[in-house]
Amino acid sequence: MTDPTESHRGTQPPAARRSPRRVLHKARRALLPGFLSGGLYTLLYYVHEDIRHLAERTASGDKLYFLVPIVIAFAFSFAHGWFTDRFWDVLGLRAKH
Amino acid sequence: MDAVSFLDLNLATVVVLFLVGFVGGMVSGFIGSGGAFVLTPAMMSLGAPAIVAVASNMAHKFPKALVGAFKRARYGQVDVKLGIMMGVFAEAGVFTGKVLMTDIRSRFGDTGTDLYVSAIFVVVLSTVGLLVLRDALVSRRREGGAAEVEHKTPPLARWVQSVRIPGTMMRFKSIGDREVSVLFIAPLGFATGLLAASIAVGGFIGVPAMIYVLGVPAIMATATELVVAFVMGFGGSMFYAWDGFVDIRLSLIILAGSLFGVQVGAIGTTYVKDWVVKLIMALIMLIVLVSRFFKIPVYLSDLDMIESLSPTLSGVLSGVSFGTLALALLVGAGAILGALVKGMARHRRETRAEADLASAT
Repeated sequence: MTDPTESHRGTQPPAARRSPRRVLHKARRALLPGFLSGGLYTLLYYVHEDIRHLAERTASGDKLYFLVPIVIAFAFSFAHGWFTDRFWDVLGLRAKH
Repeated sequence: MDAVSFLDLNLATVVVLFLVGFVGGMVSGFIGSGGAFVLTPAMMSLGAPAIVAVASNMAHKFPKALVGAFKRARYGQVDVKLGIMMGVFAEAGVFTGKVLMTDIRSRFGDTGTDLYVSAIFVVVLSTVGLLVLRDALVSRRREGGAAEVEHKTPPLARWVQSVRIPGTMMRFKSIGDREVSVLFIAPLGFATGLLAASIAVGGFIGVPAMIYVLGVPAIMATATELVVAFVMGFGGSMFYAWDGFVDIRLSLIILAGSLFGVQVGAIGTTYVKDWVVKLIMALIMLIVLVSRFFKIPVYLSDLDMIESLSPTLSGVLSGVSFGTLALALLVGAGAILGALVKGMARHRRETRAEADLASAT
């Protein structure tokens, strides 16, 4: 998730940071996390009934899969967090320091 | 155990949860907590049972806090050691809070827990909210809105840092590598967890406690609160997941919006000064406080302490109360966006001036 160009941001003139070439480069870097996050949400759409069924089984006393929601939450936070970080970077929203 | 009834999702539900998630995420990324006080009632009004709404909210909160904490750690704002210490004690507070709530509910019913929650809201938000607001305004005046001012340790924090209790001292980077006794951190963490279990926003006590009792700068306190929220949320989610109350579909839809928001809030902190964080936090706390006043007549009526209100009037007062909560979130988000836009414009002007100066020489 770390951006290798981050340490140089403060020293670059704004025009260089927002050049079309650079924006395109950043957009390309957002593709992989974007596909990963999109893929996970698509998968969620198709398996949401199974996930609901697992929760109902857990509630009725079968504790075998109780950790599944926690693991899913971690996986989505990694993929979607990575994507949202890159997404705002493409739009030019970045930290001062 | 009765079967858990999970919400049937449709497009409108998904859009509402995504948007509330986004705004709540932005506030969380900026002040370390927030959003939960709107999300839980919002899920309940969409039809989720209360326990599922609380559990699903918690399961979205810990990954959001994790991403926010990582982001702000990159800006050097997080004290991981302090966050984990506070988080461990907060976990104990969460479990005590749950037992307390269950006990009050079994003795006095739902109205009893509602009154308990409202009393906590009024006491904490009016005292802490006004204290934070006063401090923000004083800092702003002292600073004159211009140059950076060095962080001043509050008098109480100076005393806390001066107390030496052998065998309990720990060093923290957020207070300038000074030592503080764990015996001071324990009750603060515990109170944070207790508040989180009662009104879902532990940060309303955790952040001011870190600022005024331990002497952590406001920006670092809000960032460290994200670590506390992660530890608390993770433990709480495990607890609810064990009983099968987590509707992870709801959590993930909220997470989709809140992770966009948490990034914006975290970036926003790099453009503002300490007093701006305090001011926005106080603003949100005081508007949330106002929302409680609309609910008090409803509770008093339920307890037969005043003449019974008509169902229509009760509904209207509850609606206005919820609307005011949503307003608190929106005002907070608007203030964060305003501060971010102003900060970015100022930074762009400064960078351009520096570049012009460099090219001239």
